[in-house]
Amino acid sequence: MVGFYNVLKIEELACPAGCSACLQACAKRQGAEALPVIKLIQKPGAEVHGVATCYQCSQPRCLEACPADAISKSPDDGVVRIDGEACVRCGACVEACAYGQIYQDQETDQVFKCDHCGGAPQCVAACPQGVMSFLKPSETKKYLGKDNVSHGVYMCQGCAPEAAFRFTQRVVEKVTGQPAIYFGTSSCMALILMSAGPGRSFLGNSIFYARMTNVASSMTGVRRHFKRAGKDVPLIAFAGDGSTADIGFQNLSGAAERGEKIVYICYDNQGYMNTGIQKSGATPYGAWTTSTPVGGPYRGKTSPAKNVPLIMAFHGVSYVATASSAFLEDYAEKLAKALQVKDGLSYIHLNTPCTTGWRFPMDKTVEVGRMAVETNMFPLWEAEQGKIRLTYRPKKVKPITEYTKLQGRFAHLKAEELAKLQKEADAGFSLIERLAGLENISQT
Amino acid sequence: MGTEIEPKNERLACDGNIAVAYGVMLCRPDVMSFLPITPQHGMLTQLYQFHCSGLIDAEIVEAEGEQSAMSIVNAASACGSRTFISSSAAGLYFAWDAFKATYSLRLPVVMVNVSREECPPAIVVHSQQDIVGARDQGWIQIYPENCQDCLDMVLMAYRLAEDKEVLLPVIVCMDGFYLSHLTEVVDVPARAEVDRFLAPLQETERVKLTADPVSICGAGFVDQDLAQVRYEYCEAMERAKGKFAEIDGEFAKTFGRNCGGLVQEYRTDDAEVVLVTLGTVTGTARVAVDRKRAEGLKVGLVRVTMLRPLPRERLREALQGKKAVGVIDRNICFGCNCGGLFMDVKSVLYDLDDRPRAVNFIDGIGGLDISVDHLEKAIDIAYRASLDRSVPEVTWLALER
Amino acid sequence: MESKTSVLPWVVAPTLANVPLEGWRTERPVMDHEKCCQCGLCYIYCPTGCIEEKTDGLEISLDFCKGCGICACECPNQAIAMVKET
Repeated sequence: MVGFYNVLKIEELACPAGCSACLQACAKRQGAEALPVIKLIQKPGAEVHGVATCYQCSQPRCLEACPADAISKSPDDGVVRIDGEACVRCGACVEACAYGQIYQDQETDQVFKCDHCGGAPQCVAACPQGVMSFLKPSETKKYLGKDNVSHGVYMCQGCAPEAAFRFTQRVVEKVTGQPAIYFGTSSCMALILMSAGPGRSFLGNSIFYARMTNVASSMTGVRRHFKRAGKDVPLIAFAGDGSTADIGFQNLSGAAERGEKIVYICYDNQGYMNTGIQKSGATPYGAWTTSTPVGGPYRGKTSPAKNVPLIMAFHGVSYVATASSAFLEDYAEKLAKALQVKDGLSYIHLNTPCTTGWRFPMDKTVEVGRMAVETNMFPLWEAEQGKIRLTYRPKKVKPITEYTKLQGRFAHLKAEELAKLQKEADAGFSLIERLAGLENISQT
Repeated sequence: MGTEIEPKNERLACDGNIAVAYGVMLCRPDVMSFLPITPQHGMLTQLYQFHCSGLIDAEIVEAEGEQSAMSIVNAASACGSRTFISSSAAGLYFAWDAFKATYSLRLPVVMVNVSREECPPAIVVHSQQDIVGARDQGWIQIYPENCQDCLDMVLMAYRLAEDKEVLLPVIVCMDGFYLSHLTEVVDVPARAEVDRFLAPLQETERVKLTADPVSICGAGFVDQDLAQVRYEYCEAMERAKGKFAEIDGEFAKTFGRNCGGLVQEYRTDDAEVVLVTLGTVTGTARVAVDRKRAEGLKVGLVRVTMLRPLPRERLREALQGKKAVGVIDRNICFGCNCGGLFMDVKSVLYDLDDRPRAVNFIDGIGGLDISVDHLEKAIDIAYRASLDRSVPEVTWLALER
Repeated sequence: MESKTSVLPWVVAPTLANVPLEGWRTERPVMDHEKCCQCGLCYIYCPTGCIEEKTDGLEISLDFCKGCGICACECPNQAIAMVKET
């Protein structure tokens, strides 16, 4: 069985010049001075450097090489450990490791390696940049039930909405444990929810395919029917930003005002992507789209996006949250909360980067999503009964250029336009921080 | 003004909005949704009062837009609920996107449209433009003539819509202002009688949206299947004609009155000229017919009760052998330079071996009354038209053109 | 037309599940099972859900992999390499 073990993730060659905070913390990890088990990686001639440590391999060469059977990979936490008592200090493991991540004390011949500091790595705590993070995939995995979406769906390679929908329905299955009805409309998700690409691929759940104008009101009709029937059926919408922010905004607002017991997830790829990348009310300032092109009189989108999740929070609904397809544990927790709201509407605004529409290489989907959050362009917060709370604070906020440089849709932006985006990100985050101070933002 | 009488056999003086509300209440709806719009809003107030007093036990949603209201009843109907919605002109148009889904999904929704002139210009008066203009949008259409019809046709609408041989949405096309704002005598049947009248609907089985077992509503299918779906829709529409005639007969047996079926004939047996009407103008037309009869003219009247499906067979029966047919239209058929009912009637007349001369009278546009004088004039023109081919096909009675 | 009671057909698309999309790829992921630490992030992030849990580790099903490379990009150990399809 796969362990879904905790893992140390290190951003490649991202350390600030001169910083060795992680090494110093590692050296002091046992209280007294010890051999650090993490090393600097310096690219010749480059200013930036990185760090690296043990990979905790599944088939460790050090384990194979050890003549004393002193090395083992724990089935509980996946950490490869050296048993100091059994170790004969021969140094065979040091030779065997292809990555040079076993460190031998020159005087005592004792060998050391990274063991995650028992579950709270000191290097991660010490890193001032957020270059190092300690990830716990099992915390996400525990939310996943059966996958009812088959493979072979015609969505783009690297499509975040496909990934996010797969994830969503697995969480819904696990958390509710009962059959749900899903609502979708014209959008990229038509390929799954309208069985458009190439055929019916979402098996095992009922679907009501609505119009772009009426996802939330269709959910209302179904909810009122089941209310009379005395059945509490989970109703989940997975609708794009086009229908949510624009075409169907009114009907969502109405459902929110009435407090209909529905879970409405807007997957926001910031444009009408299914029809060939046109701007929507959720497209950010400056973005190229085919309807806000670059050239002639055009310089991309000239107005900022609507802040739909905040607008929903001001409706006084039971639960509102922003979430990211790059922060899946955070999303799963929020989705679980949304599903457990006893009365009233739950709204989740899910940031799902679009490789085709935002113009970035298809393998960078999660990275772009991560950067949206790390630059404060897309803050992660939730509001339970109107009380806003940030659920993630970047360890060190990155400038928005770290986000925009990844995407072709922002490639044309000049310094003053980038500055405007930066101001927007800063102001947006600051606004959430200030609103978090209120007991209930819809009653002010 | 609403009353809170018990739903037993009672005679009221009320307007058509109230009459409809009684009819809806008696049919035990599950889910209703609507927005207020002149001239329909009195209906809503009464329905809410029935809800307060317990005479209605339903989920009622005042939506934030008619598009939403239509979507709410569509979705609830898809799950198996008996639903009701009411609107008018601009509200109907706002609901268009969802309105177009109802027939396609074969949802037996019942709507009452209280017809009103189109805006712009901002004009709050009656015409049949909104609803005759919508006749090709897939819903069954039936036209009450008076406030009693308003109540009765709601009952018949549910009986027809949910019939297992039909399963199509029905609009009761109520003339705004004439029926919504004028008081007439209305007999309210007893609840038990209505339950008996609707009892055959319990046999209906239809596909419903459920969480378990898995069902899929409105989501994609292979292209050639759509032709089959539409064909079956057409078959159902055709069956609806015979079914309505049957239901009209059952109505008579249960309640002691009826509306005369698909098409109602008045003094047509020996008539040479026949007026064809839709809705409340029928009452005025009967007076005009009687006056002209008194002058010695052989004139009659055909009231079209069901406009969709178009009762071709009954219309042919009623109009064959006549010398002239004068169709009264309170609407225009855009681009055809005539009225909508005229287009339909003329197409039916084509099938007759001996075709009467067909002429169209457009009147009542912008809420103007269609007076008895206008209709007498129409009868005269129709007579002349039967003899003289040069009499123009279309006359705008109010404009004298 | 013949009279027929129709129990209204909500026509549904034919099920076309698990359509192989290997033809979409220009690159394929190759997993270094030795270096893999079994964190499962690739499994969690894969948009097509084609990474499977096996008894001895994670396996990428090449029938359904579209070759996006997210697994390779996200792997903390760089244990997945994207190799050109020939």
